[in-house]
This record gives sequence, structure tokens and C-alpha cells, in this order.
Amino acid sequence: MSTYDYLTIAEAARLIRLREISPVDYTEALLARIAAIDPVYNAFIVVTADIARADAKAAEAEIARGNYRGPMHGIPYAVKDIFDVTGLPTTCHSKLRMNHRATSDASVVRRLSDSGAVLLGKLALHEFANGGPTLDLPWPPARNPWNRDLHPGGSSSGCGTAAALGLAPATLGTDTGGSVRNPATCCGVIGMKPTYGAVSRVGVFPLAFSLDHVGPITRTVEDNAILFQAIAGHDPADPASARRTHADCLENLKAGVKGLRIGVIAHFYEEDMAADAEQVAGITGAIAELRRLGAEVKPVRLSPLSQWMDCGRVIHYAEAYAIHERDLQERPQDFAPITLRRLLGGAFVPASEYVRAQQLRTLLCEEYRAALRDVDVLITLSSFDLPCRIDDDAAVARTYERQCRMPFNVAGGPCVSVPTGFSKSGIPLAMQIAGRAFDEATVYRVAWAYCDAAGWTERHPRVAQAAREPAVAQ
Amino acid sequence: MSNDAKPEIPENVRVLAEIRGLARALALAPASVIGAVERGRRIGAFPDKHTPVTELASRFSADPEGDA
Repeated sequence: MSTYDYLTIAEAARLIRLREISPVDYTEALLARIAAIDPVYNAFIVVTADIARADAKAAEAEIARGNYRGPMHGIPYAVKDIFDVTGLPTTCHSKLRMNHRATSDASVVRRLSDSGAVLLGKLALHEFANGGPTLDLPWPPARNPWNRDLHPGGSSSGCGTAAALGLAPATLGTDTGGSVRNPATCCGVIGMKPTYGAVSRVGVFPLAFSLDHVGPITRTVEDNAILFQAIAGHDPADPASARRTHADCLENLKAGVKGLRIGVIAHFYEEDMAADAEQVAGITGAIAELRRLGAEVKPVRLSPLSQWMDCGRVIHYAEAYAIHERDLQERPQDFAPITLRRLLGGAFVPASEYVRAQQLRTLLCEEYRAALRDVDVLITLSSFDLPCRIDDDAAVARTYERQCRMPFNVAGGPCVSVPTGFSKSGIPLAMQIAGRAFDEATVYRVAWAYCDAAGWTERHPRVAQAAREPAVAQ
Repeated sequence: MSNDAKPEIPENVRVLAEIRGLARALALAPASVIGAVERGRRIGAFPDKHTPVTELASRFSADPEGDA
């Protein structure tokens, strides 16, 4: 293991600024690690080694001239292969997109490029961020870093896998019904779905426009906040982009939780649906830890989980079908069967149901805002079960029904998944912390306090070495 | 690609699939289309008290009091 493998963004940024480490050496170390490990885990669809080396060289030269741009300068990152990067295909992990070439960068890629970050490559996902892990596609599915036989979560699977394995300290995914938080949960890392409208989606292939969010997946809470701040901000080209600015997420990050009010939505996982005992034990221990740290904890009730899930599902199915309708009519054979099954669900949703779902969403959003008038953040479980086998289609399908991530896509507020420990079999457990719209700062503050006290993010999976080289962009 | 068992296709499913331009998908993956029709029919179990007549339609915003 090299000294660079599990370097945090915060620590690397400090060392780069002081010129104690070289962005070029850092990048080369991670490219070597990817070559050694990734063929076993399939986190990357493509490694952009030439771009990475050029970016790193440019960053190093610029910093040597005294022009340090900020905490992402010289930091390697990777994106789910749903973000446009000029000259590269945005495959969406689909046969339908193999011949695509992006002619411009996604807004967030441009922001990271402007901040001096180093692009390592593009990461695996569920086809169009909507299918599931399958071998029916041109690239294999990413594997769980803690046990290769298990589902790494999705749809931003490669992000969770790459972050947990120390292949990339910074990754970007997308989250329509939990697709940033699910891989973070399954892989034992930090995944933030920011407020709807906080991060531009321009140049990101859509799944369901009124539920889609771009979000960071990293190994630590501080790194997540650094990456979020680098990508957040108004973009006039995204109709949903908010004009307001978010609070500084780093200023009070380590201020602790003493005096903060935390609402626990326990009925989601105790009454509305029965969760796995180890997952419940994990969140119960985390709540006790937050109380010990000085937070005021009290129960909160929202509408039953089924109403949030139904509302989100109708909107998701209908909007996703609208995007893929022509290909589903003309090229159904080019989708993986699991994607075809999921996308076809939207073909037969009556328009009246979509309208009713939007109306219900208005009520649920008001309910969410009302709950956060009495508390500073909300806590609930993420997945109700431990990750299932990656090759068990029925179990994977159940996974997506047994979670409470969709409510936060419906409500639009910021929501982060953080680890709460490990199962007896050594698989990560997790919970979610959610907050008021555009109050990522308080969500990160609670997440940092808990993770700092608990120490779960300091554990790393035992990694296997590879026998073959990963794909390299031409 | 053969991704489905070949079940008997109900007439209503055939008609709906053709109306939606999904004849190819139906021939390729009949079970998936039959399942999709069923899911579409029962997808929204919304609360009884909530009706489109009594609720105003609105534009979604995560923060309507702000400048989203």
C-alpha cells in the first residue's frame, strides 16, 4: 500500500499547497493502484490516464508558480459515466450509447476542471442509472469492495467502489431515488444528495428531471463537503438551478452537535417496513452516540413510507419513460433485460396518476418543511437490508423496494448516507441524515460529528490484486 | 436476446402495447410488458383523502420561500 492510497482530499490539499507532495506523483500512484486492483472490482468503465497526467502536470506547474486555486487543485477525481467529458463517450453503461462522443463538458466537470482537479476516469453504473447489476452489457458491473459477491449498491456503483477502495478520493454520482446514497451505504463511504437545484445537471444524462440530483461520494465527511463546495452554485443553463447560495459547509463543520435538535423518523423502519436487525442496531447505536455528544434527540412522524415511495415511483417511472420512449419502441433489444423491465413500467402509468403524484408531492414537501421547523436535521435508516448477492436479480429488485431514500428525492432537501458500523459478516451498515433545503452545512456538521466519534470511515476493505489491465481511453 | 419466458399475452396488453408503440418490446420480452401494464395499473396507492379535485396543482420547488 502506498502513502497515497487512502489520503483524504483535505490532507492531500494541505500537502499539495505546501508542495510536500506532487500532484503528478499522487496521480501516478492512483493510476498504478487502479491498474493493480480495478480489474477485480470493475469500478472504472474507462481510465483517462492521458488526461489525468496532463491535468496533474498542469496543476503542479501552476502551483509551483504560486497560483494555488483551492482545495481541489491537483486532487484526482472520477465521475459516473453519465457526465459529459469533451471527446469521450458518455456511455451511461449502455450498448445504446457506445458510439456517443461528448462535445462539451458537463457543468460540474467544467467546475472541477476550473478548480484544477485531475480527471482519472469514468465509473460504472446501472444502465442509464436505472437498471441493476447485470452481465448483459458491454462492461461488467462494479463489485462490492467488502465482498465481491455482493451488490455494491447503485446506480452510482463505481463511485462507491472506487471511493471505498482508495482508487479515487473524489467521485461524482447522480441520485434520482437514492443512487448516490445506496452505493455509499453498501460500500461504507459518504454519499450526499444535495438540495434539488444546488448543483447543476447540465451535461448529465437525465433519468427523471424533477428527481435528479448530482452528488459527491467520498471516504470522509470533510472531503464530501469540500467536493460539494467545488461543484455547487447557480447555472443558468439548468432550469432547476437555484440562484441562492448555500452556506459555507466547512466553516462550522467541526463545531459539534451540542444543542442541535435531531428528529428520528423511526416509523419508516420500525412500523412501515421491518428492517434487518443489524441495520437497526447500527442506527440505534448512532443515535445514542449523537445523544452522548450533546444533541437533543426526539421522534418525528411523517406520512407512511409507502406514500413517499408511491409518489416518487410514479414520477420516476413516468419521467424516465418519456426520456427513453423512442429507444424502447425502436431498439428494445439493445437494453439489458433488467433495464427494459424497469423502464417499461413508465409506459402504462396514466397521466392522471402523474398529476396526482405531483399534487401529493406538494403536500409531502410541506410536511417535510414543517418537521424541520422543530428540529435541525432528520435521521432515518438508508437500506433496510444488507447488500444481497450481485447475481440474484430478485433480491436486487427487492433491495430497491426496501429502503427509505426516495422520500428525500421527493422532498428535495439535502441528505447524506454515513456508515454506522459493520455487520457480523463484515459488511457496512448505514443511516441517513437529512436537512432543510440549502442547509447542507448543518447536515455535514452532524455527519462529521458522528463519523469523527464513531471512526467507521477509518476502516478499509482488504483488497484483491488484478491479473489484467483496465480499459484506457483512446 | 431472449430475456423472457413466453407467456400467453392478454388481449388488453397487446392492444395497450401497440398503442404505445411497443410491439417490438412485446415480441422480445412479453413478460416484462405484461408486468409493466400490471405495475402501471396499481402503481399509485395514494391516500383516500387526497383527490385531484381538492388539491391545487403546483410547480415543484425544494424551497418555495427562497429563490429557487
